[in-house]
Amino acid sequence: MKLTNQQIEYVENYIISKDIKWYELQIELTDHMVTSMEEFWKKDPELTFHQVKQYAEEKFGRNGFKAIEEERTQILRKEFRKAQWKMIAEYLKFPKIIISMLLAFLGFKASFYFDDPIRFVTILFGLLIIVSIPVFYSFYSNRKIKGKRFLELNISHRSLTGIFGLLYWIIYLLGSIKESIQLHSILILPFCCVWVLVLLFLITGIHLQKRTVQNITRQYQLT
Amino acid sequence: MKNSQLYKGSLNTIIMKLLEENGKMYGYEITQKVKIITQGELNITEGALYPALHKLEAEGILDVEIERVDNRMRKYYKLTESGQKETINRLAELEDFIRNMQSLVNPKPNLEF
Repeated sequence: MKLTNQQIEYVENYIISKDIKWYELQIELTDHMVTSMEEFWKKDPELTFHQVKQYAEEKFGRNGFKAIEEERTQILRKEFRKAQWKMIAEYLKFPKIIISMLLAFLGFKASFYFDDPIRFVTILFGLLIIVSIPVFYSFYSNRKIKGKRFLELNISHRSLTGIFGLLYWIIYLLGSIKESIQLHSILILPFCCVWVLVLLFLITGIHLQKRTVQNITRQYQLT
Repeated sequence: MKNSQLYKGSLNTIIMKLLEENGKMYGYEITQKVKIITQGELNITEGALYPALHKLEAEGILDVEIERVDNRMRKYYKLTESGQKETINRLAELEDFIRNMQSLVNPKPNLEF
């Protein structure tokens, strides 16, 4: 027996009520539940709508839909991190490492124009924060595609928030070795290398986010 | 399923093999197909199926296609180009594993003295 449109809508809302807010999971779980319910009804037409719903839901186990969402989050987070580090690693290998080394060297060379090395490092990372603001704004405004929220997209955005954590540690480190930097200007070089790494993190993050949006738009026909 | 631990490691290969044979399939269809082929011996639970599908999708082995069916959206999975190559490798690995297990479980009598 086929479920009516109203019953399908009920199942869909029931899944949403279980705190499944991601579109890709909502459609997948709704379809699975509805197909499973129709099968139960075919076998025993005497069952009520709520009985078949209960039987279909029980097949998802004790932790139900939420466990599937949690596992998907873990999988996507791991795969996204892997993809990003793979892209960053390309810039740490020949020939692209030349660009990375050149950037770090130019940063170090620019420090000679500053009397206060601490001020230079602060400006260097401050510039990075300024560049990040429009990127984060763009991510925030694109957190939905055609009004739909995707877990995959959310993960690609979240990976970039790690930049702020890294910047916090840099500021902390800068404060604790303040005197040493003022005495030995060579200590600015590791900060320039970290600056290049954060920049690479930002660039690869933007690239992966764009790729995710394109992929979702194609797969879910949201053009 | 009689012993889920024995099948656990092969779940991804089972899914890939089914998709290789059927082109594209949706979650519920995969569970039912496995049940029919194994005459009810192997029952893939929803809690095991979806993480396996999502992992294969994230690894780029599977691609997703959405279709409207009976007033609802249906998510189909299909093998990507690299997924097709990977299926051949994994099936070969699985066949090797089965062969080795068979030799261990039913060793042929050694006729050499």
